[in-house]
Amino acid sequence: MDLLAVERVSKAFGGIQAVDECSIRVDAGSIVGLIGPNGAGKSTLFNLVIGTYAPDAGRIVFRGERIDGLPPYEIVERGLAKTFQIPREFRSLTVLENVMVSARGEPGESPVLSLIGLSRVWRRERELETRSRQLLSLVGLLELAEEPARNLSGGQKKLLELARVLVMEPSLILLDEPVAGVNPTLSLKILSLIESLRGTGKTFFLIEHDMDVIFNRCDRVIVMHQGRVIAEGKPAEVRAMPAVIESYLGG
Amino acid sequence: MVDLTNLVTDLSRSWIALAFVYAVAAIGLNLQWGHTGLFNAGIAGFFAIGAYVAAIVSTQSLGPGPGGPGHAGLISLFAFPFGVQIAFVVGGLAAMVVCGLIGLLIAIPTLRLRADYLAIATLALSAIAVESIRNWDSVTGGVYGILGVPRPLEFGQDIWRTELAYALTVGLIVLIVFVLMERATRAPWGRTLKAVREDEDAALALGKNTYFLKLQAFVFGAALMGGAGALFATLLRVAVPDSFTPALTFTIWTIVIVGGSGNNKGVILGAVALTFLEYFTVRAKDWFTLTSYWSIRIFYVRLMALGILLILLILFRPAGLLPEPLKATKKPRILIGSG
Repeated sequence: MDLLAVERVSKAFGGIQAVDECSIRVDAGSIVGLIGPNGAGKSTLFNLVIGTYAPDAGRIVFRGERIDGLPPYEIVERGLAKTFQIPREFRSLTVLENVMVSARGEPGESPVLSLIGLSRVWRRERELETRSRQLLSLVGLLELAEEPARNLSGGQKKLLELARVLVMEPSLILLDEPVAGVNPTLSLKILSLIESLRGTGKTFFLIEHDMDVIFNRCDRVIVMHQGRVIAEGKPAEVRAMPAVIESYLGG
Repeated sequence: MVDLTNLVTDLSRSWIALAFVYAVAAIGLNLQWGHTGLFNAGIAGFFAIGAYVAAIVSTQSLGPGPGGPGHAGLISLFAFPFGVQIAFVVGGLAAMVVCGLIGLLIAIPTLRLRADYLAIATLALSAIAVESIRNWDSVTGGVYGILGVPRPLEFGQDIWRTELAYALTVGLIVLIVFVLMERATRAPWGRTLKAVREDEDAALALGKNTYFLKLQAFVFGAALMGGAGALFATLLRVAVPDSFTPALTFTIWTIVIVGGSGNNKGVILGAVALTFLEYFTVRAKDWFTLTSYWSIRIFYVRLMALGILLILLILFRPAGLLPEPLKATKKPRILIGSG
């Protein structure tokens, strides 16, 4: 069954048609790769799905419910999460706090409950801290938990992005270039993490320029060019398509 | 040269209370700017509205006469034993509610826009508020203002009527405001506000309702500034439009930056430090043998001293006297409810 269905979605910025009648399906439990030249509209498509932008036309359906036009916090509430291409950590918060602040549905986010110091707020806070530390240990950042996030290296910030979306317990995770600018060992670690999380029932939809990731790790590959989907299928099929070779892969 | 007993007596004569009044407003600005990154350039406006709401609630209506155009007043509503105390509390709460609502009205359209629009809108609000007050004679008394704003504890024993007793009352209010604000900002709510301050787009994409969070911080901050304005009117015992100049906005900003943006304790310290600096430049001419040339100019040296202090602080302690704590949250000692 489709977990996510993007149906003939369009988005223009001024005179630029960033996404042009795009239709995409993502099956539950799969890893789907999205490739295409720079400016093809990949990141814009992600931003449309997560609600940062509202589409000009078309429908976006997640778990059978329309989500296009909803604000991001309502979309996230339904189990979607996205990482940023360039990490957007909260610089002065600690690594642990970056993860904890990303959890959804915390009662302590209400000023009134926080003000009166309800013990339920702080019990949830303790549970959240345990869960956040487990996630930090999963991505290998536990030793840096108390550091301000601005002190992390570029690759570590990518791992923090991953921990931040995982704490939201989403069913579909959009990853915008998860291994770009990351060294090979770390990249391998991120990829095996994604693989093992897929085993626990999570679905991944990722943008990547690393062809090893796309062709060896993804179940399906979608190719965008000038805002349109020009090809999709199994990695081996897509790799052989002349249109893909011409616009993206090169001869 | 400086007699300690005299110094305490002199300081208690409105200076300590003034520091505490500034502290309440600074805690409000710290919520808006220090925690959430909202630039409020109209603090004087919220002060003015708070002062006048409290003054109108806690004084008797006065018709036009030779002394001025008169003004509106509601004290007759509280004409029973302890009426002054009730008027003080109701006046302060009314000032907070009105300023909170005005803050809400200005925040709804501007908080959707980028930060600089909020600064312009609040600056304009401040100018509109003060000019309206200056010209709305029948309600505000125009340039004559509202005289005889009562202080709390103006009954019974003489010792309760002293300046020191008043200063301690305001100090108690600062303590209550501090404890409540510290609870709220060092809880998950405050941490979420900091996330909005650090990177609003990221917080939005992570599923935070950033607009609503900014609205909450701005409204609560504006309410505190209104409360500070109400206290200011009781401190001076009058509300006159000339008290609410842009310099007041600048003073509160300086307090927050000097004290430590993002640290509630720091901004209270900043309020005390800056008020003491002001006191020193006012009184220096009495303590030291100054030539008449300097005794006239010493007060203006204050502004230069303030400027130099700010530059030195930005160079050597950019995070303020007490910087923002490293950890955003801190579990309070006393919790409500079981579990």
